[in-house]
Amino acid sequence: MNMRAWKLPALGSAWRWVWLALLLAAGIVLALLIPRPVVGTIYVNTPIEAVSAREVIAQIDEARSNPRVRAVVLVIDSPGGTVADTEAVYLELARLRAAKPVVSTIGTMAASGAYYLAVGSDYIFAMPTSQVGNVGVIGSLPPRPAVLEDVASTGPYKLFGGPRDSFLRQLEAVKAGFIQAVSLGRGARLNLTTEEIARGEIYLGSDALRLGLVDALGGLSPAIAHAARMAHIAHYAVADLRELAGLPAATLVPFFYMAEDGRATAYPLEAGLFLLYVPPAEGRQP
Amino acid sequence: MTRRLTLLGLALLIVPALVRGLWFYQGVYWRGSPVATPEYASFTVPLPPLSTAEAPAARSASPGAHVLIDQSHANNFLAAELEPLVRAVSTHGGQVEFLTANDSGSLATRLGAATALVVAAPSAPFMRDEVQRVEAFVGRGGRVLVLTDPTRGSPQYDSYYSDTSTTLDDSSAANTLLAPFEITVADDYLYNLNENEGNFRNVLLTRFAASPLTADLGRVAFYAAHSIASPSGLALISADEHTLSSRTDRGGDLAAAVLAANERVLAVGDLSFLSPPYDHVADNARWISNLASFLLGGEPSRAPTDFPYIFSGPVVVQALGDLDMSTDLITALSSLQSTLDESGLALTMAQSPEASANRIVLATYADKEELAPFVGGFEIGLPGAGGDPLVTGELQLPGWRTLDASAVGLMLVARNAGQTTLTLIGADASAVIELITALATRDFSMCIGQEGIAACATGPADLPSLDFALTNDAVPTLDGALP
Repeated sequence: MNMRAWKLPALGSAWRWVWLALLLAAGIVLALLIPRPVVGTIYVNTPIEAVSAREVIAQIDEARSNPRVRAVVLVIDSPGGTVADTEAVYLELARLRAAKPVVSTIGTMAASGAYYLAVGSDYIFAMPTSQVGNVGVIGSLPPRPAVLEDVASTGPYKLFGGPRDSFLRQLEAVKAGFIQAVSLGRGARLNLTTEEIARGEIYLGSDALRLGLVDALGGLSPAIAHAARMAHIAHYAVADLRELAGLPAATLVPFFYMAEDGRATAYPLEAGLFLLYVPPAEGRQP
Repeated sequence: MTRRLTLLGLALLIVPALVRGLWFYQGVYWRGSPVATPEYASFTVPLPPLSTAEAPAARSASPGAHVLIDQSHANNFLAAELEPLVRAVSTHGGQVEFLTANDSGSLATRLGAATALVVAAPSAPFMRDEVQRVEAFVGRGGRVLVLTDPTRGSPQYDSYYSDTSTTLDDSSAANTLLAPFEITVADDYLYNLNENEGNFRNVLLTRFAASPLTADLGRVAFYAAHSIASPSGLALISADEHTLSSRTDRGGDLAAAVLAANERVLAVGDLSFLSPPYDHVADNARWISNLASFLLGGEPSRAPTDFPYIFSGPVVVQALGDLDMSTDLITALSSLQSTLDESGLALTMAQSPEASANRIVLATYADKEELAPFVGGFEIGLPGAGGDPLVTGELQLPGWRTLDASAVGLMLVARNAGQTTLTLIGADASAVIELITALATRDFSMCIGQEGIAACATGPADLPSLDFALTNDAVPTLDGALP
């Protein structure tokens, strides 16, 4: 079509300016279609168990699929949790990290399984007095196999899961995975030997920095800023991925054993394998 | 002109988006290397190094070998846990007996029948008299095996709720018994984070001192073990430098088994290695067999005050010479029979018992010729060579001053090939009856004992007359300790 054919004769030479204004408006509209980047936050502030892990994984899925979310900050304050649920979150984090940077910030505590998740991120912040580490596995040995009068089963370990000795040895296999996760996650930044990591010590954040268990001291703001830098974004928004994923408020699931006097203990409600820190001050095991 | 306008229009279309884009996005996130995760499939459950070698047979027990296993000190173990050790002892002729807090007879008295004592994971302290008895037992040649275990040592501070009892951790309780032998069990556990048997607290030990107890051992596995120290003892099984103590997180010179007191007292920091399935890991079966041999090797001499436990079978009473079977004597023997019966031992009378029978021989000093076979091994000078002992009687005991035979009776214990003979000698029948009564009532307050011999005040004299009978100033104990 010939340009001249559809110019507005009434406007004379002003048609050019109208045309340019329309293009500018279109350009502005086009620009507005470019979304403002978001740094998503995921809060891990409960024990890691089936329900909390499922919710965290849902937020990770949201972060991975939502193009606005360009980076994720994992806000950790947890003593850890069950082995399988921790590993499930860890592996989902690894998939997310392939596409978007993940930065962790530790509040009061990232112990055991919670630290497992932290090493699954690209950069770790901690407060100077955060409790960090406690690499290792715990579990209550199953009861000694016995024949019960009122419960029938088809094998000697059907009711008990296995010999007590096997259970103890399984801890070692789980520990090996944990230690390798720490080694892979921290790489050359780690100033501890494998043997030292396996001791299961819990360190202050300032110590953890010196030992290479974390990368810097700081809280949520520097963690968000660092995640944004890693994602090469600016003037970003910060959004809670729980809201972006449309999840309801956090579901509180009974995880710890409640003593008869109503006192909450630091021991899991159910038997099993745990990547969990149990404070010694709790005293007697129920 | 048109071309310029076109370019301007394109710029107006693109620039806003470009500006906004650059306002927000200043680069592209690019991960150089893939995210690595652990090779979970490569982590396998560590399996124990099971021993395929046949454990050597424990040595045959000496006749009368009697292993007493103490369960009277709130011990934290089940009898079944010691089954491999008990089996090794029993199959080679040793007799095994458990002593619980409900049994009649204390540890101190039951030691009289034992040739070896096993104490495992106690949580109640040993009293002073018990320790003295065990010390004397070891001094006489008895063997003691003390097994401790960090997994059994959880103290329960009952005093918070009640001021009646406070149990100790097993190391503290064991140390109350081991202190006289200069052995100390530490309140720790050994661990090795590099090389272990399935868990950091399960240590593999390869350093052995030369001893029959460590014969043919290449590697043993302990499943949480205390470290044990003894300045005068032999560190029988030691840990390498990579095995650390939980108390110091340091290694080196940590022993998990110590042999002391002339190789008669063995302290081991673990108990779990005895229980299946751990008894067949590494060389543990061989180690258990060696422990059984150690226990079977004890042949302690007997003191009369260990009666009735000096006997382990039926007893025959044999009267020598012209000793009248008076009513008083029969009454005393009846009482003695009751005492033996309480211990499950039968008492019979015989003029000429079989040579292999356990016997109680009754005699007076006047029966010197007939007594000769029974006192020959004691280096005793009997009174009145052929004369009236009540007149000429001077009694000579090894290491003692001369005693007045008219006022002193003797109890002599001799063991030969599993057969025990207790000889009672008095100035006359009434003195013999007093000696029998002392045995029957187990009242040795009028006696002074040493190895195999007890001298008891009879007749008109009393114990104070014996106070100065010793050639040194030491006051002997009643349990057979040397004066």
